[in-house]
Amino acid sequence: MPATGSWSGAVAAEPSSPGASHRQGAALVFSGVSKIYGQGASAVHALDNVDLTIARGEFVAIYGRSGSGKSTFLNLAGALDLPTAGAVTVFGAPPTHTLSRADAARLRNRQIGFIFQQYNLFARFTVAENVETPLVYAGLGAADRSRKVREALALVGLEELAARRPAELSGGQQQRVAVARAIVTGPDMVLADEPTGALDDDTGGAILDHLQSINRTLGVSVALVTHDPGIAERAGRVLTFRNGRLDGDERRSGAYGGEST
Amino acid sequence: MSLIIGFVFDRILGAPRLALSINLAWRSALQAPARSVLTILGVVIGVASVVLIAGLGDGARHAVANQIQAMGPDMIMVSSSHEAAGPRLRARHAADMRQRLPGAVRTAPQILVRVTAIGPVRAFDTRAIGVTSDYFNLGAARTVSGRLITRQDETGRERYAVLGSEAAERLFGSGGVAVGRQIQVNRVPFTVIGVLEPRGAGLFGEIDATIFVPLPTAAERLRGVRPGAPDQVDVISIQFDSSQSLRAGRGAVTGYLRQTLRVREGEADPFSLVSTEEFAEQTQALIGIVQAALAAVAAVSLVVGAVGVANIVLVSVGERTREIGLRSALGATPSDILRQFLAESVLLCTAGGLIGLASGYAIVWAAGALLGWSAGVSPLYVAAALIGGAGTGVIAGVAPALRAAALNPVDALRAL
Repeated sequence: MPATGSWSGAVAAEPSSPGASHRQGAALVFSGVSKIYGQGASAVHALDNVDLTIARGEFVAIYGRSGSGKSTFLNLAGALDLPTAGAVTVFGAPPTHTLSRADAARLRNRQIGFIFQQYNLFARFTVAENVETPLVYAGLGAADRSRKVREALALVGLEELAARRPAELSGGQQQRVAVARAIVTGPDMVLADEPTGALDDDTGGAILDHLQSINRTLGVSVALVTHDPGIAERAGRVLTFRNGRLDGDERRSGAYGGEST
Repeated sequence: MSLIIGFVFDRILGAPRLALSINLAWRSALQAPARSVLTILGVVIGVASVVLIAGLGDGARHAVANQIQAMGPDMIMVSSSHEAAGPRLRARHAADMRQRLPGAVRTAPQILVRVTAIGPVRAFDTRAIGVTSDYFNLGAARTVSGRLITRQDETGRERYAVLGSEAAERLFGSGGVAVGRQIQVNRVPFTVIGVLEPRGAGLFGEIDATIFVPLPTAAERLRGVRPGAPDQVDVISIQFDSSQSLRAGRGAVTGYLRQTLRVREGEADPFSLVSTEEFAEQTQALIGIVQAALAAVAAVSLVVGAVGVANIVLVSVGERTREIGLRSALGATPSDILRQFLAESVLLCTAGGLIGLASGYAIVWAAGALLGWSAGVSPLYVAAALIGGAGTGVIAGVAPALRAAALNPVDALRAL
């Protein structure tokens, strides 16, 4: 596998626009992916030769303890970082290490939605402006943006709070804003990093319900990082990481994105 | 304001990403207003200096041109040397040169005397000039009341005085009441026959504060020359019909006076010459030096301003590293990030340019009012000041903006 790990690779072809053609086949392919931080004796192998495929429409929990490599996995899957070795392919686009930084940004904008543990909303912007931000980077006109923001907020039940600022909302409401922001561009995959980590059980459960709904009704693949076995159990497939290696790949019927759904 | 910017760029120009960059820059600048104001001080001073260079330079040039017009264009002024023993200029030299020098249209011999003038309101020290009737034609002087000195006044050795506007004001409180009344000049009583219209700040002396009397009266009454003694004068003004004649006339005047005053070869001239043209050139050169000094201040201020703005934008990049990571995750390309911070720098510097323009214009306006200049700032300089401000913003913002754009998204997201 080629050694990668920088953004200086050749400019890749324009990533395909989101749409029906991507609802078939693999959402995410890791081929012999390793990620090493540092050099020499102080080098840390965050991921070690990982091979896996996540199908379109799957609801996958990425489970493991702290330092197991699950967040590194999410960063590589979201083209936020590049592998040291191996290749990451998202929805059939050229491997991420061959994309220019601008093309990687466009890939994230059009096909991937991110949800973070600490919500990561822009404090000085209203709820609607927060949700609108990815659409601005997509270059959409004002009328289209307004419509899509309304639809996304309606999906998480926050239409009424569109003019509020994040500080005026509860933690659960802020995370629902983050969910709306993640899905507003109509992505093919949502990557969620401990999305319920800062919430109580009931509120966290409601967020998981929203993600389930998105997965079922919109056919969006969901990869959810968690260290909570209770949350992992609700996913259709659990990928367990230990010391940077893929230690388990368990499929469950009846759960979110499972084979029976 | 950010709403207006957003509306214009997003809805009208159809550039939502640019609108977002400007919106973010605007909010960032307003987040720490005191810091923003201090940051742009250098740019303010720099652009204000540019406006001062332009406004005061133009004002000074206009003032010089007006003054020369008032004194009389295309003129050579000859002064006797200050050495008492040397040969002196005489009134008949003036009449002689009027006839002999090609292109000479009029000549005006003058006697200059420091005097104490006493009027009904107050006394003050000033300058009296003994003049012939032709003197007032050099610069087309006009009276606001009364009349000018005539040939009859000269030959009659009348004790008549024509007052500059300021002299009338000082002696009588108001110029309007002076004509027909008496003043004392070095204890000699004179009757005021006219008051001149104001000529503005004098480059050749305080013309408005001067008292003009007939030439022979000045010689006999103010200088104590006996009647029939040599008609010595201090200055002779010679006006030519064109600037070409003036240039040619300079050598002719020197030649005539050296011959007439019997100056031997190798001896220095017992007189000095200055032409309006030379005076204008010298003054313009002086204005140029002042402008160059101001330009240096402007350049240094703009460089200091640019460094200040660059520093603050760099701090802003540091403070907002996590935001940069988040925006990258949401789809902002490196160009979007670059534009966001470049917009912040350009916005700060353009604001500095506008404030500098306003303060520079205020100083130019105040100085113009104080000095009686018609000082103005042309739209060209306004444009230059704004482009200069924005240009400084671009230069100052490039390095920090590139640094922000080069951040690895995942590293930026990890920042505290």
